[in-house]
Amino acid sequence: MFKIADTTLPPLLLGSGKFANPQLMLEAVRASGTGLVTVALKRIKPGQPSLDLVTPLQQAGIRLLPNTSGAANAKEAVFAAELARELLQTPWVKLEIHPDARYLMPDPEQTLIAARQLVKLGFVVLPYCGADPMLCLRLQEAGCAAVMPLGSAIGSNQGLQNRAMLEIIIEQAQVPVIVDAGLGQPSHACAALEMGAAAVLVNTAIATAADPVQAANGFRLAVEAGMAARSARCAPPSVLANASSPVESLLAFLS
Amino acid sequence: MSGVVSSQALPGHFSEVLAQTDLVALQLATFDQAAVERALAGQKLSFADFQALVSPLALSKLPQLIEKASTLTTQYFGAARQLFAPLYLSNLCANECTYCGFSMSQTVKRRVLSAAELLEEATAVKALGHDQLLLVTGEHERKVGMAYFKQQIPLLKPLFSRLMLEVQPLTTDDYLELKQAGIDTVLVYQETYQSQAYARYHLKGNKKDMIWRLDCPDRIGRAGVDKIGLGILLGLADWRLDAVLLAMHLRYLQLKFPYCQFSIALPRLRPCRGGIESNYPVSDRELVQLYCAFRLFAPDIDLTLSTRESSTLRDLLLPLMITSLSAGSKTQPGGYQVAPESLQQFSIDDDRSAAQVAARLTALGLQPVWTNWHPAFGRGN
Amino acid sequence: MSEHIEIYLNGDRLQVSKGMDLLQLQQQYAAGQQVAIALNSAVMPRRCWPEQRLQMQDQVLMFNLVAGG
Repeated sequence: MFKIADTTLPPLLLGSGKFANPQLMLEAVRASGTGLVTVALKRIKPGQPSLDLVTPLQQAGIRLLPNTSGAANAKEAVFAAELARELLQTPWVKLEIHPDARYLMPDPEQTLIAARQLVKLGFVVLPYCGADPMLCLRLQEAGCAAVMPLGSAIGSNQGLQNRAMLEIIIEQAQVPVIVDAGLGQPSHACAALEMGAAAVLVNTAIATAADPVQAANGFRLAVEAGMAARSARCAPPSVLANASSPVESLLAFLS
Repeated sequence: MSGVVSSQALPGHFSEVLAQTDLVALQLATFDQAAVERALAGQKLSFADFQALVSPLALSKLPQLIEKASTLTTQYFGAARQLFAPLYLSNLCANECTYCGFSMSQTVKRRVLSAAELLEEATAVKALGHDQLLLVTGEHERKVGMAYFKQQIPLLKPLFSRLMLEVQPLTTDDYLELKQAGIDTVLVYQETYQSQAYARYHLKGNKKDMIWRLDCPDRIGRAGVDKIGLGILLGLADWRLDAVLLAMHLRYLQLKFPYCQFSIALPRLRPCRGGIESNYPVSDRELVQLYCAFRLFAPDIDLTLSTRESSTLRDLLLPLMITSLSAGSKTQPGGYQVAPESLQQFSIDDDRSAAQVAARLTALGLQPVWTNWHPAFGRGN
Repeated sequence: MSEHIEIYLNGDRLQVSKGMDLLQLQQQYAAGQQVAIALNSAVMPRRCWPEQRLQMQDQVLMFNLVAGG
């Protein structure tokens, strides 16, 4: 479990996108044991009824986390956050600004600008960002409730490509680190938790699996395994060293 | 161990962390061979790993500790070794510390360097080859306080590329001013983190206030000073516990001030006039164990070995884990030029000149570094 | 025989009754849906909808929640 703004949550967050149908999404959400599901905002088509995503999730006791997906800059992201706050009556927001249409890479400059504004406006900000240790420090300083560095590109299922950077981010963080984007297998999620991440956010891997409910189950078990590994503190791989001459001289002196 | 990952921000002051720490539990904690092996093999060491590495059992693994410390030092620092000189501005002191030759009750000729004397001393130090200076004073707020520092530091700024300060604990605003004046590094050694022991050695004066000293690095960090020097005086109390608490302090500060650099010093109690014998002696092996543990725990920080230690031990440790050292040091105000015969703060064991030390470094395959940065990059104009 | 005014809803030109408020607008075009409304770039809290009467050329944006990662 981990905590954001005095709320304790299981360490697996889910995205609601890309599922074949809302019913399947709901079953996967249940199988995952998650406590937080992201949703997006979209302009309605006047007169056209839309699928009600919110009610079934809320009825299942799942907290919803609105994201600012679609925003191309800080101004739009802040606007989206304010709409979301009004709609869901929650100050929680997943800040995401990815103008890069090909790889959906988060815009570091606009994200930091938006984060600072949103914190001032009283939001609980969870920013999606690159696995950039310096940027994560700045977001933390700005008052974000967590940082959400990407494991690899959204939807790529490549796992923890940014492992070395994520390790530094985790080491320097004073807020929860939620690895978001690119986690393709339950083992990736396990590795992230083992490494010290507070949680992971998974969407594509579950939604596009042949059996999303089983995938969700797998991710649930994986984060549990990761947490167990972390608290067990298993021995790391050791490297045999060869004694060098200066070391021998010192040892001779000390003996 | 709770399953909830803590996401709370750190307390505002280290004294709060220390107050919540169960010192007895730390002292009584034992570590088995497996714990030592894990710590030796690990990459990003935890606080528990550090404890294992300074435990008595870890001494049996000293060769492996030294080997790994050596590898990490080379990896992070290459062959570069920083040289600096201490310059004592004043031995006037309003504190009574039982282990120090400058203690208030000691009848020693007190001296506060005037601007002219300071320039003479600085010129002498510069002539030795030094470009990095550590300014040291005793504690006297009235005669050797901020007014004095603000007057003297600008005289030195044009002469030295790096100015470090080791004086009484000051306020955040003071450090902001000092940083503006050109101070790059501030050293403040806690001496001991154990309050009962601390009270036994610090009998009079502001240094009696342990909390003010404990929270000083927080203030230095908040002022945005580039580098903070931490340390303990080995021999004052249970030194294993002090080393563990120093490691805790370091980790807390590194997390809180991620843009700050750090250095660690582990001076051993040395004879001085009117000084004391230690009830907690640290052998050479144990000293090396401590330095190794810090190197493994924080591979990127500076480890300093003072001239209190013999040239033999210094030369053996320099290739392996020490990354900065003073050379040709005089530990009395006026010691370089103005009044070389006056009383030293503590006796020096390595009395080689700076040039000799530099030559020795080169012979050891190391690179003596006199200047750590270039004024051309915009600092200190 | 009521007067009509022209507004924009999510970019589309619309004729609505003069004096219509945001709540009525929501009930007409997004009945039963949880939506958020912005009027001329300002987010409108739900409690204000009944009092907010539409004016000529008002730009209204109406959003609901959809699936997204």
